[in-house]
Amino acid sequence: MRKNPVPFFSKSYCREMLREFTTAGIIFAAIEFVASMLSCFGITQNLLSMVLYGANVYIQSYAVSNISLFCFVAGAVFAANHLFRSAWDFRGSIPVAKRTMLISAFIAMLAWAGICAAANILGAFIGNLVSTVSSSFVLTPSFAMVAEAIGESLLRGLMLFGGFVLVLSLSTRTFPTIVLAFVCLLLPNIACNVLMYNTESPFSLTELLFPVSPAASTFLNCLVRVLCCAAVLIAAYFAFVNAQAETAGKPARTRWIHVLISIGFALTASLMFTENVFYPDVYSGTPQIAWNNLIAPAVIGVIVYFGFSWITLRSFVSALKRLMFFPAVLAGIAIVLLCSAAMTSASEKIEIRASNIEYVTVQGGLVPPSDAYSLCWRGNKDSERMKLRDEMLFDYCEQLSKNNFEYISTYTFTSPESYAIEPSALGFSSIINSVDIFDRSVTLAVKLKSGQTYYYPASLDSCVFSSKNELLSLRSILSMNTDYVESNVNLSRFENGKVALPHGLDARFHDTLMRELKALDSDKLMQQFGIVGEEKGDPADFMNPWSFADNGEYGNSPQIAVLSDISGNYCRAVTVDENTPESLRMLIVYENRKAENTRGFNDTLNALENGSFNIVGGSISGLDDMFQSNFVYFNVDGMNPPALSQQAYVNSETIDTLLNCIEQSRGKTPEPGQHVLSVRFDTIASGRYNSEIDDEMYDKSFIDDYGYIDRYTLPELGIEYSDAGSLLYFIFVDDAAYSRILQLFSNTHSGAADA
Amino acid sequence: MIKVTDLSKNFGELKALDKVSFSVPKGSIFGLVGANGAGKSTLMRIIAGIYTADDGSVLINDEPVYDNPAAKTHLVFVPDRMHLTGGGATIERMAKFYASCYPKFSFEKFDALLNIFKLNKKRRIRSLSKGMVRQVQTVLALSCNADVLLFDETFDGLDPIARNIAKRLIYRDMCDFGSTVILTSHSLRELEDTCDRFAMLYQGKIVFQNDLADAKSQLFKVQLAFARNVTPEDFKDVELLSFTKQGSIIYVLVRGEAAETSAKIEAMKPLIMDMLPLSIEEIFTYELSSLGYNFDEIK
Repeated sequence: MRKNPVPFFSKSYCREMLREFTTAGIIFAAIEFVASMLSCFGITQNLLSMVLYGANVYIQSYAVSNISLFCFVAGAVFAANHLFRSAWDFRGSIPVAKRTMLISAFIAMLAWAGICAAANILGAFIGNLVSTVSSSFVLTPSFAMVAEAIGESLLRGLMLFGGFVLVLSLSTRTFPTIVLAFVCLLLPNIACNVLMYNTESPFSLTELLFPVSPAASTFLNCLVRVLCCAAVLIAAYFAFVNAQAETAGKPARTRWIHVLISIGFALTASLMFTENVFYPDVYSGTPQIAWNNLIAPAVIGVIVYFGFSWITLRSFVSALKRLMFFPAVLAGIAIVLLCSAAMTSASEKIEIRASNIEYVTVQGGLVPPSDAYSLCWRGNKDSERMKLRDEMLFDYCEQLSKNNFEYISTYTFTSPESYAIEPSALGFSSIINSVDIFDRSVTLAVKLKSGQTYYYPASLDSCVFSSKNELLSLRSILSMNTDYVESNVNLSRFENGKVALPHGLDARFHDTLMRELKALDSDKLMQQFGIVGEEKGDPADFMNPWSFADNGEYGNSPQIAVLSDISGNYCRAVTVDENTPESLRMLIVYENRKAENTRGFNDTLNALENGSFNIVGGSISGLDDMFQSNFVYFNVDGMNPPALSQQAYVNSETIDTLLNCIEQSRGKTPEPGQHVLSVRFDTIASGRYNSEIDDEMYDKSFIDDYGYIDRYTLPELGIEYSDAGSLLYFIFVDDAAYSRILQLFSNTHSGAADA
Repeated sequence: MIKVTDLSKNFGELKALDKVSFSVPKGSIFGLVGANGAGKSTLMRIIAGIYTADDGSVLINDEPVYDNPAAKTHLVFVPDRMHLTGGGATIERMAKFYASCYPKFSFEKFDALLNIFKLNKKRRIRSLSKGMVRQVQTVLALSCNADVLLFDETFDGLDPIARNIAKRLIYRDMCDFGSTVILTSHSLRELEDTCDRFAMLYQGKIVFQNDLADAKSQLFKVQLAFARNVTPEDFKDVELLSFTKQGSIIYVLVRGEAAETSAKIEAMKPLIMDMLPLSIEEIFTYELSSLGYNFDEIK
């Protein structure tokens, strides 16, 4: 018999399907537009996504995209319109082949998804435009992020659409639709999650099978998502094309599908109870398998499989016979797990071993509401599993202390709570974002007995880790930071593969930086150096890895992360020698130039030089020996409360020396042999000392433990405060001047004052 | 030309069709009758290319139908339950969809047929009654000008006037365009004045099929009265199918060539002899009874 060719696409059928998807399409396009536009103001981003999407962290973090939800609804509409006998009669008799039908419907669905995506982008564009005009301080998602979210959402959606087609195609074979929906919609997603990021395990199967760099891992995850999606769609295609309209199929054909669906059903249920199957060894990062955690899912799987078989086959004996298939499946899974763990163990690239670790320091975790903390302990206990949640950290430290580990609270960060709250004024979403960021921020330092120290500032941006569990394994941190430079600085996440530069840094700097970054040896100590934008504050606060967002911007503050091999955890400047990176020297000059261009710089400097102020406070810091000192200088007679004489203040020579150094450093570049110090005149006030107030009050309130002047308490103390601005400058001094400065500041706490 | 050869279809343990064979010549109306569950709809779905056959074949104009869009453009199937695309589709939109699928669809004919049934093409199909939906189905099917029309229980739900109109339209379509039509029904009376060929399905098998004119020319019901006492044994010269005596009146059903049979009965010198018209239902009942089937359920 001759067979006529079947057309690939039917315009008429596609048009009909476009009409069928119209209601859902219009609704979702409208939601996309509104939500995307308002998300630029941080208003509805999470409200809508939480209502429509549940607690999808990914969508919360970056962009609103309901495309997958549209695809879900479209799939349901498609299935509903094909599921009934009458529908099969109608569609089976018209001169359109089934594969043509499916492809046409798929294209119609894609067309509507495209409209939804366009609505999203248009909304984002308008939102950005309005927020720019109104100068709103919000974290606006970039178009790249929106596009990424749309792509991700579309892939999820296609998988759901394919799942519905599978449900439709198989439900004609006596399987309950609800069971099929459970298997066909959930199983691909769970499988995808297991491959990409198992929410309950520190490792994904892909990570285990293919341990690659973070950059390649991102690509691999995309590939896995695409492959999963393609697999579902291909399965859906063949299922639909070969689906028969008959309500009951041949028993011979049904048997294997029955087994397949039963196993799928049991696996879905089983996987839902999988938790912490893999965990990393504390120091080596080698994946371990928690066999006991496999028992519960396995038992659940067997029960579900047997129960489902019993119900559907209506025979206890047949169900019992079918049970023989399931152990085979479990054995197969176990073999895969073992192989993957073995492969990963064999290809472990991290050279840090427990035997050569001197101590490990971890900073970060979930930031408590009152303050931050930093913990340090010593030890090499192999079997400990590290869970970097705050409560786990405390528990861990407690255990360590019981075991005679040295547990030291090293220093306290300035509370980052303010950063968490600041953007939240514009909406609930910002709080979530901020907490997300801090929750996943960990800085880890490993000091080897050989003296080397590896710093691993794990800037776990929410894009990569939002869907990952909250447990950050040591291995994940190590593996991530092995290629820290590559993954955070030199890759495509920056625009066109270049480092995003603040305004004022030119191509020459960029080229220099890139050259030096490439030449960096990862075995050397890495230290971040942060440069803040227009915001005032301690640059050290911004040296934390979480300050550096994907696109090099944090809020409205342009920043740049520079890696150097300079030691010291809190230094702001360095001794310049022949090893100092050229890029760092350029940055210092850039910072000074920027400071000079700051409004009021010259006025402040003149005021300091002319002595037209009553009180000034500030700090000097830098150098690789961790030299740092805060100072206060009083310029008016009578403003010398006795109690303060024991506190931190300096004489006029100190101020003059510093101002002189500033003058000599202006317009210059630090030369080899020079020392670079960061000088900060922070609080400059005028007014009179109220001698009627008890000196003890000044002692307690005027100057805090660190020697800073709390400008907000000045009025309470009767001192009139006028904000004459602040001044931050890098000074370059030779050895003689440096010694003199050290000498001057060595007297800081001795009470030497010239008032 | 529709040719069905040794068609079999099973649903699990159930034998829905068992080696069904028949052919429908071009330009004829074929009636398919049978009780509920006899396999009529299954057979129609296989002919329409919705189901696949487990065994045997269906050829329309020498082409298989299943998954063959080109062959299906010559065929319109009107199922017993109508499904329409899009929840809010109007009659007109459905017509456009049909027009995009069937190249010979005629909007002029569509409009004309709608006028006959007094249907408004702007109305949403969802808002129509069951009978009106059937009318729309009929109109759409006829407007396609397809070579083969398959109507599955189409006349159910139609009022007598609409039913007659539909029958006439189908008949006219066959006459004008030489369409080949298959109608199914569980009622013999329904199809008697429309079809020119019949087949009866019983438990998945065609137990009887014939040309209606042939059947009527071969079977006779005769009313007789004799002066003497007559028994069935006296009719040994003719093929007697039934013998019923009510008082002095005897009703016999005989098979055979008309003139010859009449002559043989007349030779028995009856006092009264009337050849009575035979309904299709009686023909089927007698024919199938003679084959040993019991069709009490067929009314």
